[in-house]
Amino acid sequence: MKDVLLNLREILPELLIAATLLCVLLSELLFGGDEEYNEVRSSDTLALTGIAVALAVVLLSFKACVVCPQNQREIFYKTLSIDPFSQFVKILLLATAFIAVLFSYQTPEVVTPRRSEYYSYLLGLLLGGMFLASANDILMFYLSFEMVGVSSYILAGHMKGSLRSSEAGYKYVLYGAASSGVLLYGLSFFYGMSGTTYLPDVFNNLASQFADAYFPGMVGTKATIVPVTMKLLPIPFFMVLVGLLYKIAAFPFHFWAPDVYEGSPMPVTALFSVLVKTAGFSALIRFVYCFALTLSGVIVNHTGGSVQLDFSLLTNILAITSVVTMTLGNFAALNQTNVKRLLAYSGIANAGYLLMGVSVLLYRGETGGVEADGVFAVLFYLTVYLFANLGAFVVAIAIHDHLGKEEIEEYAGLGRLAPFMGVSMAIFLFSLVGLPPLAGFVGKFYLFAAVVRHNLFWLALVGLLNSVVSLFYYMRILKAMFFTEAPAGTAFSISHHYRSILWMLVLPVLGLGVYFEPLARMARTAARYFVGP
Amino acid sequence: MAENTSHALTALTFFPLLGALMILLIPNAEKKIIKTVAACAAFVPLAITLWMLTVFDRTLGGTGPADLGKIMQFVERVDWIKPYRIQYYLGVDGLSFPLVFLSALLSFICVIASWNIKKAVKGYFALFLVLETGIMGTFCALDFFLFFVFWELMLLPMYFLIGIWGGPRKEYAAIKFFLYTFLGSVLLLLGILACYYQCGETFSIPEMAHKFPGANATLRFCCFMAFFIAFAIKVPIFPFHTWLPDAHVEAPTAVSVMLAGVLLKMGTYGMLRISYPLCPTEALGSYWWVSILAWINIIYGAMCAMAQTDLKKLVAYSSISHMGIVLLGMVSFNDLGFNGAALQMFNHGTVTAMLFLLVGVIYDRAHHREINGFGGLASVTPIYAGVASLAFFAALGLPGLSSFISEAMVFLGGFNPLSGSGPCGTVINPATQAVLFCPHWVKWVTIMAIPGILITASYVLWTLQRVFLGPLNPKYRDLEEISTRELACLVPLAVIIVFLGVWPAPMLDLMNKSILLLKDIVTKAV
Repeated sequence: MKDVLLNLREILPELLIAATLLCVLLSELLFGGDEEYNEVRSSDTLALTGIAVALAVVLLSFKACVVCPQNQREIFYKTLSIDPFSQFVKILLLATAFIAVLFSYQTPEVVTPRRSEYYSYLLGLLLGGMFLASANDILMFYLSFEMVGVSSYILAGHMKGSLRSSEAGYKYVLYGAASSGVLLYGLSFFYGMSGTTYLPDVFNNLASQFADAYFPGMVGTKATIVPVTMKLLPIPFFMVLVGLLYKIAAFPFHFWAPDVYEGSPMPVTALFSVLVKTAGFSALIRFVYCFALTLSGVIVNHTGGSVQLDFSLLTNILAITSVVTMTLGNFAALNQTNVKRLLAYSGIANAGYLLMGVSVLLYRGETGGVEADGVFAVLFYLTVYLFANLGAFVVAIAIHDHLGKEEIEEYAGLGRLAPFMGVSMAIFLFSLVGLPPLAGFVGKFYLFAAVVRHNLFWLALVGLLNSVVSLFYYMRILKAMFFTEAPAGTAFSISHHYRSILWMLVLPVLGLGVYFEPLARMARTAARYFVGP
Repeated sequence: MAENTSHALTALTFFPLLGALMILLIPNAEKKIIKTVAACAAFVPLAITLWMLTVFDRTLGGTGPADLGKIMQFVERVDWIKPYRIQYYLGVDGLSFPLVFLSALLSFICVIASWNIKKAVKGYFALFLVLETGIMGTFCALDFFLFFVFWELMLLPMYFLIGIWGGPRKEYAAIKFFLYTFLGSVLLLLGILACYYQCGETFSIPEMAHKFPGANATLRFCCFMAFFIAFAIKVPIFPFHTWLPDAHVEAPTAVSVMLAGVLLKMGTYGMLRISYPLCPTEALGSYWWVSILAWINIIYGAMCAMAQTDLKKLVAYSSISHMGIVLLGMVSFNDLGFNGAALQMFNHGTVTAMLFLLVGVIYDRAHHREINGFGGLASVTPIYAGVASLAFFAALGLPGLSSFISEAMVFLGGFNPLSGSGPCGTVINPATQAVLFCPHWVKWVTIMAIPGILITASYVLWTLQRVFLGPLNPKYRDLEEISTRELACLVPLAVIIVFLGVWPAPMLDLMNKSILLLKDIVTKAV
């Protein structure tokens, strides 16, 4: 009991978010009828404060984990892990949610009578994501996965009167339910085969069983590298991968993304494209690392170091998924005329780029140890992607709120009418393409560096060619905004609110393109957690 | 190691950026102030370059130790991103300094030439100055990552400059230019990363020049091809030249001048700075197809120019033709050829700048560029006709003007490739007995390229005749003479062209030693 109470201190950020969620709900229930309450938008402020405080706490916790490894621990009977990786991901999630609350403030798509409902689901999504980042146990993994899922289904269908929104919500539910069903089935196999729900032990037990079966009596023989074949990659692993790939909208489980992104209210789409992806990737990385590292550790121990596992099959599968995802995302985006759908497909393509980094997770460096540069690249890219993607969405939200327009042709001339907004959109889109000296270039550079380092030149080439393709459709938006004249008589300027959010997002994109060492150091520490210092 | 280390290069590179930021703060209405600030921001790099001209050490290089790092001057080297060993490493030598001077001069001239821009003045000059920063940085950068950042930095302003202030098909031209060049840059990035990991994790170009030739042969070849395609798109070399006519024609005058005068040189500069030192064997071994491509550039470019009825498109194709001469010089691998190529880069910059400015002058007045739509303008605008004749004769390569010297050096060098630095006959790889370099091939390609001069002469003279001579087109009886401002843009270039045509020694002295060192690095590696 004392343990549990002590452990509560470790999940202070999550508790804060949960408390904020309750406060938002209760305040609406108690004071919702009050005019002034609605004028002042108290739900927004409450949510914002809660997230800000939680963010501060997580930053401190990250620092503590980094400074003293003893501060990394597994709490609540080892179901949650508090370590640099999970805390870094939580920082990203909280930052995303913070900005999301800011840009949901003014938009009419978040219906006023049900503001607190919106914010409570947003906070629920955030909470689920935070638990998913720390999840070290099969049950916790699935619970948090579902928490993220259920909150997103409801957020997708937030605008009750809109057919598109309801369709989005419904499609999301169906697809999500099917995918998480498969995920759960796979996870249940893992429990059945190993007898425990604690992830490292799951793979430990599995590996010991396999080791006995497949490598008997190999102690003391000369060193060999054994490819990890289908015998060692059981079906459950792929079933879990199905669920994880669905979450990050990667081929072949991406089909829900364009419709859901298009139908949801714009702030929700922005949230999905960043927060859910970040949480999904953290789960994927943790799961794959746990699987691979434990497996190879056990086999190495069992055979006295004479057998080393070679994960090229897994790497190739992930690499091919990455290639197909980014190609599909980029080429499908070429034909889009709706900005939201275009950004949805661009999100799919970005998931492909990130998968490139995940696919080099398991490469061995010169010393024989697994390197962390793939994960480092993924974490760095997620950060810069956060700013650029949210920025692009904020511009789209601002235009939608002031003019109600969502099609690219309708953006004609807006860049010249509102120069600051136009220039910041240009900066965000160029960052998404990966042009120097913007942050997106550095993120892509790190990803490609990780891939080239491990000699996967074909993967890097495909990724780079895809970046060129992506340039074309991002430029279509800029072409409309700057090169075409606005229809006569259009007056447009964005409100101060959106202007300040844009400033908040543009500065990191510009600054991180030139000076990114602190962020790189944090990401590297987070990435190194799995593979040792 | 050079004695002069000061922050000249940083000032050179970032002063225009500072100017751009200042312009962004000036309100839209104050057009005169914006233009003045832009002119000052463009003048400062020019002043710095002129000062550097006086202190530039012309003796570094030659047949000394084959180390690129040792001949660099005004070096600035600071650690930027420690984990990846990326440094802020700037430096110039005899190869890049003339190009830096050319860029500074042309930028300033272009700012003056853009004085009449009416639309979105603030955005135009801000973008133009950012472009200048990118250009200066590319020529000065000695760290491959930094080089790449500046290389890509040029694309953003160019896209907007062409796309907003351009002609009727500006969007098409802008996106074509952007996509094409970005494709090249992306291949460049792949090559950079491969080199980085092969050279023991260093981004410094001089160090890579030491270590990369020792890398795996297939990797070296793939990197050479990646670099070649990336730079070939910029030069542009057939068949990657299709973006050039569109981009040049649709861009506004000053942007065309920068594009043709400076940006095209980056391709060949990149080859000489990067491809040749890092992959010398492959560079030498590529002689046979690169010389053919150079020949195609010269002849095909000239023939396309002859077929044009749009004056600006004619000048664009003539640029392709003249860059072919640079390429031919680069493939002869001797002092004469390399020096000729480097000199032709500088000369072509000045000549083509003049040509585009002249086209801009007539376009501002007549609002069309149809060659057949003019006639007899010499009687109405004699000064304009005179300056135009000078520029056209320079394009032709008339003796007495600078292009003659560089073209002659290239052709003479091509007659005796690889001489003076080793066996004069065919070079055979002793290990595999394969022919590594056959001088006769290059000699015959050079001979076949000489008719290019004839074709150039024919279209130049024909154009002069159609536009300036003959019966006066009654529509242009009252054509306005060239203004003082426009003349002020053209005169410095004309003076340089005539001066270097009569006495090219100052420019050649600047380049010679560094070019000799480069040639040694490439040929001695075989």
